[in-house]
Amino acid sequence: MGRVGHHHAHARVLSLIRYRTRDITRIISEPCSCGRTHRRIDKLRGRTDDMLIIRGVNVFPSQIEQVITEFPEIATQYQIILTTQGPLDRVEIQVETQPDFPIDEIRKIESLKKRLSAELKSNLQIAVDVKIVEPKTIARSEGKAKRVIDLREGKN
Amino acid sequence: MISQLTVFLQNEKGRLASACRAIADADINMHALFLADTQDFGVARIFCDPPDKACECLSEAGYRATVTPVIAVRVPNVPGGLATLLEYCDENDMNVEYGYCFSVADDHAIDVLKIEGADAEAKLVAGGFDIVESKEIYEG
Repeated sequence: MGRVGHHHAHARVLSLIRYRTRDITRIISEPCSCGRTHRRIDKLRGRTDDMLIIRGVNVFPSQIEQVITEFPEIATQYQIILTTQGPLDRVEIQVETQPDFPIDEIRKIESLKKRLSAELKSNLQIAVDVKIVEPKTIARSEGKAKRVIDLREGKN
Repeated sequence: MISQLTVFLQNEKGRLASACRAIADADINMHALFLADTQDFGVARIFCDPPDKACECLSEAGYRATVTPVIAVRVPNVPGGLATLLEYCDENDMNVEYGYCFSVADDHAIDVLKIEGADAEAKLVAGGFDIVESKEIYEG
């Protein structure tokens, strides 16, 4: 993963040198299946200004999204809530279960929570609290969703 | 098997009140309610008539509600009524996920159990237990 920057090789009037787009992606060195051999850039995975620094660790919301999509029991809506607890940042990730998840058994809900937080911890390298919430708690937004709510002291 | 209305609620002030109000607004009467709570969420298990309509109303109002099949057993309202039932489940390797009891008349109580496995009800019938049918409790 890296940042995308542009140079403009031919413009004579307005040249761009190291124009930082703030996009995050990677370079694909292998030839394309269409036969083209030039190096390509992959799909854009996020932007550097999306990046959160939580307890000194760089975290992209897209990493969290990636983990959540691996759990079919969990709906795609999620929200990241950052707060300050003592000297540390506290991360709470709110998710909803899919409508067909057996909500009557506490054991199954607790086990889902545990599996999700273990997976997030191994992926992000920081401990997060998973909270399973009621359907309408997480705001549905059209277009660009507001996924991160940063309530940390000194951040806003 | 009888239907139990199950509602997932956040463990927050006023959530249960608001869910109960939603059921009341649909003109549905509750017979029994049992609450299992954890630190951040609770699960309300409700007997109301008709459960399907209540579930529909709650879902429309944005609640996570579902109708769950559970087994209701009529036991004599005497000391040891539930103990005998649970011992039978234990001896027959029937794993009880959760359960609760209520008395509807002086002479008997109803023990509701969620038991793993599709053959649980048949096993209880074979053991001579009095299984409550849905129509005995619900009109709808």
